[in-house]
Amino acid sequence: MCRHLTSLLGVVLLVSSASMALAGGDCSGFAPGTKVVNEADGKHFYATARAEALEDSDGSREIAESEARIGARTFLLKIPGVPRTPNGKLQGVTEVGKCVAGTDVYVTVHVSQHSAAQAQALRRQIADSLRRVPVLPVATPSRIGAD
Amino acid sequence: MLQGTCRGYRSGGVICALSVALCVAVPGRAYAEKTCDDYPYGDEINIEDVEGGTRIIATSSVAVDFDDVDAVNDARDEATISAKAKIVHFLEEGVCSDDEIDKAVATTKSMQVDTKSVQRDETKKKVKKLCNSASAVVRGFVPLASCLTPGKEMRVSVGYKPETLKQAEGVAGAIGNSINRTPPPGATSHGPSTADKATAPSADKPRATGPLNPAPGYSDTKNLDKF
Repeated sequence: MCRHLTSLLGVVLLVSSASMALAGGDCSGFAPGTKVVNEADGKHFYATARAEALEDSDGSREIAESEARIGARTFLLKIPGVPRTPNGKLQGVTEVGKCVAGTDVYVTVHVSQHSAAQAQALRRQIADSLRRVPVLPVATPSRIGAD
Repeated sequence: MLQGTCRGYRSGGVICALSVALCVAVPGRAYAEKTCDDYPYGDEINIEDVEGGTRIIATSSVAVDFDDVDAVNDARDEATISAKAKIVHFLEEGVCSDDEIDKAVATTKSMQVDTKSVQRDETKKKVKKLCNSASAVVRGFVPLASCLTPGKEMRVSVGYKPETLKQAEGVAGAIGNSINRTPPPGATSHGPSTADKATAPSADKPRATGPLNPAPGYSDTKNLDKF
């Protein structure tokens, strides 16, 4: 009986300590800034931005998250050599990291020469398809009293 | 059955019986309703090169505030649009960040016989405007899978690959050719238009109340496996 209780207690303690380790925000791996990494398939550009929520609530954190998302993209624009469209817009950008610690929200975005090429190819494929088969016209009913 | 299972355990008969009972009861509850806990994708976009182009699976998660079918349907629509928007942002997006600072200074001077005083009030107003925009006419994006955790979240995954683009193009082309061959009769109205029928909601009408219509949790990922 005592042996069973002891083993059961041990299991309960193990589960609760694992839960505590997973919970709680720790954004020590995130820092605002930019980074350029050379890899086999070309250059990879990373940008991290931080925003602070006005209060510790879901609504405020959502606003801070949007601010951090845009801030990170603004950082990307400032890196020399970041691939852009002919009209200066970003392409191939994906969000690769997000961390929330209290009222601090960090967002990391990534773009590479390869992902930009993927976005460009995809835009061209869709544009070619729309040229071959244009968007179907939408029928509009005639208005009363038009004649 | 429990007695047969627990026979042979000398002193732990009660604990054994309890454990067996829990083992039967808990999995039964777990299999009754699926949620998004085991959904393979989070709020993310996955891109990979495939033959003929790129395969994309974009997933968006939206909060479901009420455990009611109407709220779930609204969340599903929102998550679908949000997932498609993720792909559109990947294609091309514009970013703007404007800072505007307005400074106003008010200076008040007063002079008396042998004294002079000056008061200066300065106010600064700073407005920061951030925007991130993307828009495109697209084709070939298909809803693939979704899951619901009741009262918590709805996730929808939208996919694109070169085959879906060809299929969408084929369908649009077939419909367009059919309309060109046999144009639909001209639409005319012989009565009030739908716009005239719309009226503002009456302020005197009492709001209908009733119990929520809960939607069970689910996780439908069968299309993801064959995409």
